Amino acid sequence: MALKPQHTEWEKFHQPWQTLGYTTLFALGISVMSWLFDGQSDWGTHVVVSLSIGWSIVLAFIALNGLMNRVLNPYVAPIPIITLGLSIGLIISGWLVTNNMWYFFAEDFSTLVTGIFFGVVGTTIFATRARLKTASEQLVQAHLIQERQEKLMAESELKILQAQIEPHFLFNTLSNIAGLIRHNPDAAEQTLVNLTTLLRAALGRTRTGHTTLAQELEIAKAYLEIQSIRMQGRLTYRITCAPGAGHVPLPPLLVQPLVENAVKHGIDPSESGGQILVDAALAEQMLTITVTDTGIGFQDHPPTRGTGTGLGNIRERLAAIFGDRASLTLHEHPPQGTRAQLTLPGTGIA
Amino acid sequence: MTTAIVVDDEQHIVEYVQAKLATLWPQLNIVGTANNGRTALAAARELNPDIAFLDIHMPGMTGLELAEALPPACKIVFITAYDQFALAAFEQAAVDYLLKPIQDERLRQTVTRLQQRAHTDANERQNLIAAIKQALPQKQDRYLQWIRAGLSDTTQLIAVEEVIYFQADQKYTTVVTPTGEHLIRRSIKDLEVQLDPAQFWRVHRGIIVRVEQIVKATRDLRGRYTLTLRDSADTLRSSASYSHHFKQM
Repeated sequence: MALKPQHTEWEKFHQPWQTLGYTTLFALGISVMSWLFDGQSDWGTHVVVSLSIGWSIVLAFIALNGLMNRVLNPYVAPIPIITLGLSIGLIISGWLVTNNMWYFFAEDFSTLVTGIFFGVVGTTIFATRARLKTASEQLVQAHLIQERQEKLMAESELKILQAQIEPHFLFNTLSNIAGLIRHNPDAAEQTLVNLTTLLRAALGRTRTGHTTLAQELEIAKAYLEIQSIRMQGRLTYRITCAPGAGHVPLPPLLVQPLVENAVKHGIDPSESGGQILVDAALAEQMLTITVTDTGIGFQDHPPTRGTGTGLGNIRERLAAIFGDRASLTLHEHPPQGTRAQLTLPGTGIA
Repeated sequence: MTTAIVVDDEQHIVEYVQAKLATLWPQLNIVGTANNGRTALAAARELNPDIAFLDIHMPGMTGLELAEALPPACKIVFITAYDQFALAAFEQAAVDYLLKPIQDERLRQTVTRLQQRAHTDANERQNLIAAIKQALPQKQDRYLQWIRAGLSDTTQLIAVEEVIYFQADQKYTTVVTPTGEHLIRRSIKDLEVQLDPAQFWRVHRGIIVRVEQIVKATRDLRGRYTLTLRDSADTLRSSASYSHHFKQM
């Protein structure tokens, strides 16, 4: 995730009330100073004049800042805004103090000069404050993003490992072997061999970073074979692969999580069980892997949960490797069950 | 004579437990076996066994649900493979349980305990089951988890976990995810009541956003907020009447 371009500091008036408050304090300070220098009129007049000017400039900024920044260079943009705000402020205070809107333009220029001076100084102070704030916000945000990315990396590695061999699955399979070993030694041996295939893949592959479609399907087969022995008649499966597609290089563990989902969320919760079809097809330079099950299908409120996160993990990895050239979608499979469809470039990660 | 039923969705585990029990407790009469919760319940009601060995993870009806429905006099031994949540709960509640693969020594201990314990207390069992259920991860099945989006001839499923925000679009609602937008035939109002309020906030008459996605909320003079999102370049505008969420931020 990239940092979005930040707004210029002039545009940062996202706490207008606060800015107005500070402006009021600033204007009151100016009124005291000018009153002391002036010595003729009373302090109230100075307050009225400086507040009128200060508030007008701030309101002009709030109203016009976005527009001016789009039209003008950010260093030039404040000039027309200050000019406008100051003029309005002088007109208002002229009218309030002398009943003559043009008094400060025609009779007394000292207020105009003071106004320009403090208008520029005030705006610079506020802009600097906003810029400092933006900078520290950006820093905090950058830290947050970095932390999040690191966490995601660590999490996805962990998830890859767990996606391969879930503890529950491992212990269940071992218990199966123990149960089968006496009265069905062939099935026990089969299960042991398939479990070894899965373990070898799990321990060796996360580090190598890629695999082939044929190997992925081999692992899916080992997993499905173990589950079909465990569930006896409840699970049947079929794996088909287009000729020539087997050698396509793939990132590891795209297919097995889909097959595992089909078992866990489709077939296993169903008392009558069902069938899982895994198919890999090449068409128009795209490789499409579909995993279809005839299980309970998706319900608004499913009895098992956690698929969304698993799919999100695969999507993140696909996006990191293939950008928008790969996709993973989930569909209902009428009359019953679910179909997961994975599409990626036919050349794989090569 | 003491009677028992053995229930596991895997038939060879049932046979395995039967065989082990035959050697460790020859006097025990295993009157029935079952491979799912519903047949087990029917069998238990008919045979009225003293003891039930129950697998926790079964299709249709889980071992816990089954245990709740069994006659109160029936003693229960749970069977489970690795399950960190259940195990912690068992230990805490001192429930009889067997771990797969079942070890002879453990089964012998369980048998001895069962033989010593003359009767069970129905209340005690209810409390135990309640304690176990509490320790198990809470199912969020009160809230919507999948959204169906109709494409020409197939129905695509979108995990609610992936949604960034929902936006009303006349009669329909646009669902925005990191991978794209989908139009669904469901109103924002209807969605609001079905989504987890801790995860989704309605910030406008026509917008529901995932809280986690909000990176920044910028307030304007009229009390509305502009929301910057994490995984989308779109900015959303909250209306003043729905901005109570941000007041405490």
